Amino acid sequence: MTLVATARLTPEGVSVVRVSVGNDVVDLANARAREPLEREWMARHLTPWERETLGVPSPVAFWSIFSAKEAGYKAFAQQGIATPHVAFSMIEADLANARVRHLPTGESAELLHLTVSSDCVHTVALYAPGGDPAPSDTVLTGIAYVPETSEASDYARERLIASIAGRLPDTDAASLAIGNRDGIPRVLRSGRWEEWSVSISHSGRLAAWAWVGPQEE
Amino acid sequence: MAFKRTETAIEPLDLTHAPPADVERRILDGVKKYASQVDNWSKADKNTPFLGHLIGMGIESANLVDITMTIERQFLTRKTKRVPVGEDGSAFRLETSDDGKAGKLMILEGEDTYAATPGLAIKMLMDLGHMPMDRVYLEDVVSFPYVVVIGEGYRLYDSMRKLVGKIDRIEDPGSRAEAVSNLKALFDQAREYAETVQDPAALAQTRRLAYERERSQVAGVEAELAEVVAKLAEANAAKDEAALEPLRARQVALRLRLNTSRVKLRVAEEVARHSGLRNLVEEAKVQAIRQMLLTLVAHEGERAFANPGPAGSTPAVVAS
Repeated sequence: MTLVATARLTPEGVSVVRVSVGNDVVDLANARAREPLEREWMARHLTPWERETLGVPSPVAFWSIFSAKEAGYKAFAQQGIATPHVAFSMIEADLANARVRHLPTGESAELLHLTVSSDCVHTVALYAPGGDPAPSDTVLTGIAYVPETSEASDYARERLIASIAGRLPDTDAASLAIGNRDGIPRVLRSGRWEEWSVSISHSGRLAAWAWVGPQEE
Repeated sequence: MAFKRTETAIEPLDLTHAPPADVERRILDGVKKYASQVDNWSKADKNTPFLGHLIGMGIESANLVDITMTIERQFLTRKTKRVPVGEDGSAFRLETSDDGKAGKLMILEGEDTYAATPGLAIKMLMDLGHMPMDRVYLEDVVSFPYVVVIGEGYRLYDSMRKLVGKIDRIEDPGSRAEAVSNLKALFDQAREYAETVQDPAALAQTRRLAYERERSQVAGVEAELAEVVAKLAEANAAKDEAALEPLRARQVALRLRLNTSRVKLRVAEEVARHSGLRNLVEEAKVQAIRQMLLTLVAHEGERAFANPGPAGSTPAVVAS
């Protein structure tokens, strides 16, 4: 059903490689997304290769790249591959090949899922050190409009919990909570921190979430 | 050189003699349009984080570059002369212009890494020499490490408070017990946080270890780069074209990695250097969030764990 790790045979023996997920949503109706994309502003977000590849990008093309970088950044960060604050040019998105690269380390994540509509861009990135994880049906992800009575971050967490509870057998949503450990979002289940990778995003009216769950027994 | 903001033309302010309070006001005004937490923005001071919605102005990551560019547009500096650095001259640093005239402010990549609040943005400008150093102003600027640490505390408090509210609405005893077990885990985390931040020396120790790790990583990359440079020299001397291309590619990759590692090292160094010392404002803020956490644990702990009971009131998050 879902995969949190793959076991790989290495010269040192069998090692378990954790998979981490990152997701990002951009509300294209948001004020910033509607503003003209100034050349200098874009240059601060794009690597030289991205600038060359994109040419003069449309807003949707630019925000697709941005969203992929943010998703990749979150997936890398969960495995200790940090990117300094505002360092957008250290992560490179290759949408044509569905990859996002952390340039300083050479590590690469798979762009699992990129949704582009008139309303939004939503990207999910999956990273496993040393190589790609198993196929794309191993990740649970969702996106929704935030009700006016809800705060976006809280709503994203509630929907993530509901999604996880819906997928795990005999799991009550009340047994789940989202917390943070070392700045990374983590799931508590019945008082125990789970090793699952989760990611939460919100932008404007939209909330999005992603989860890589436990290996099926 | 004025730029338009809505219908008002704003003349850039020369940083050379600008009072920090004026610079702070301009920065705050400049970021208002990106602030989704208007209440926090309206009460913002030098220590209000740009990011985050609990105690921050609610600026999203899509607007981080806007903050930097807003600052650049609003101010002039004497440091406008570009001086090439590095072997290929692609990088540069800024020095005071030969004619001494003020010109467009440029914030180079990596310089805004710590600029998480208006006060830290001004500290950045002072550290870079765009503004005169003003120690009095900086005395009560919360440092980057403590912005991070305090922010973590408020996020934890918010998670706990919301879970308490959720538990109060759960009627089924079995489901309630499950949720309470999660609350216990968060309470344990809160106690651990309170203990860690209470002792600046302990906090400094963990940060120093992190700095040492980063430093050894930088040393490793530097050694690797030196090896590649030596091999390049050999290949050049031997006119070995086949070996040159991959070595050059490796050199570029290592340089980029070294630049990133050095940025991370500066952050770690700043964190390690500063964590053992607290100014009065940092101390007050740490104690405030520490007290909020421990009060919530004490207030709700017995009630939630001992007996299911009627909903009690829980303190709201107060931005400070």
